[in-house]
Amino acid sequence: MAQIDLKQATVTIKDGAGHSLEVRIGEGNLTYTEAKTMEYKLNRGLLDEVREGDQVPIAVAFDFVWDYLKGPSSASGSGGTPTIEDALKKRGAAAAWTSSDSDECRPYAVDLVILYTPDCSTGDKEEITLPDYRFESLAHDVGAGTVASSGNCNATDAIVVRSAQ
Amino acid sequence: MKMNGKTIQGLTPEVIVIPKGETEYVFKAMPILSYDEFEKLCPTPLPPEIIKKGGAKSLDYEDKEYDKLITAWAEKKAAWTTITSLAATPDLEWETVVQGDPATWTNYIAELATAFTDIEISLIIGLTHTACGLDQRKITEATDRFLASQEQAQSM
Repeated sequence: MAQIDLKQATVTIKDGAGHSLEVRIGEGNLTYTEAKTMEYKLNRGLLDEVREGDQVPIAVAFDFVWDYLKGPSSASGSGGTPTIEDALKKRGAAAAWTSSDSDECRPYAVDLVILYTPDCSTGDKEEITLPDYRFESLAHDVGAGTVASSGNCNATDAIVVRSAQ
Repeated sequence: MKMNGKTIQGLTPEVIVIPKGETEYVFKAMPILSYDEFEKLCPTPLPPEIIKKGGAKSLDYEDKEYDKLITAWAEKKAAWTTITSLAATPDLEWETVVQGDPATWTNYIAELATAFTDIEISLIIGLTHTACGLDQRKITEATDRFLASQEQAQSM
């Protein structure tokens, strides 16, 4: 399980057609778990073959207080900046968003992109993409700037890219 | 529009002649009175919106992505101004610049550079600035002439 301290990080919720909502995090945590099932085959009682079993989706949970949300201007004709709940539910200002999943018949999903920039200038930036996230629980308070959600990604691995600051 | 009973001539071309060997190249630049066509093809980018806790909204003019967009937009606007103003030049044909395609507008400098020196290019671009009223020196000179004539009239 990877645990990321979200202080000084941004989480961007992206759809499949270029819409995005940037969330600047004040404090909180995000965890994601990549899991694999392995099948160990015995030969006369002794360990022998190993095979990969069924795939397991990445389990994601986050709970944070945000400082601000950044999105398109209301004057741009795009409906303005959606709330996190709007972006995750494809409603309100995010009603025109498109699922990040290429299969339109599947339920609506979004990509979560976490950009972590360490305080020290020598540390590398890390961008973690959790593709096709679908929430299964969500609690959001716009006034207090809090959000807590958990769900799964229709992928087995997160995409992690490190680059110099 | 009239002033002192005379119709204001808004579309007066500026002319420059650049000699090259035996040939004299005449460039004409017209003032641009409307940027509607440009805005239609290349709308002004808007900064992203920020929503703070409690719902207060503001625009983020410091956003890095917006900074890139507005810089690219300004370059395109300058290029469009130049090529549109120079459209008054008879028989001027661009090979890589297409009036309706914003991606090609900034090619005009590379095209000019194939035939003209840096100084000549500056003169041609300067001509469009003058035609479009962007030449502050010329405006200042005209203002000074006007104020001097007013002072003369008062002292007589």
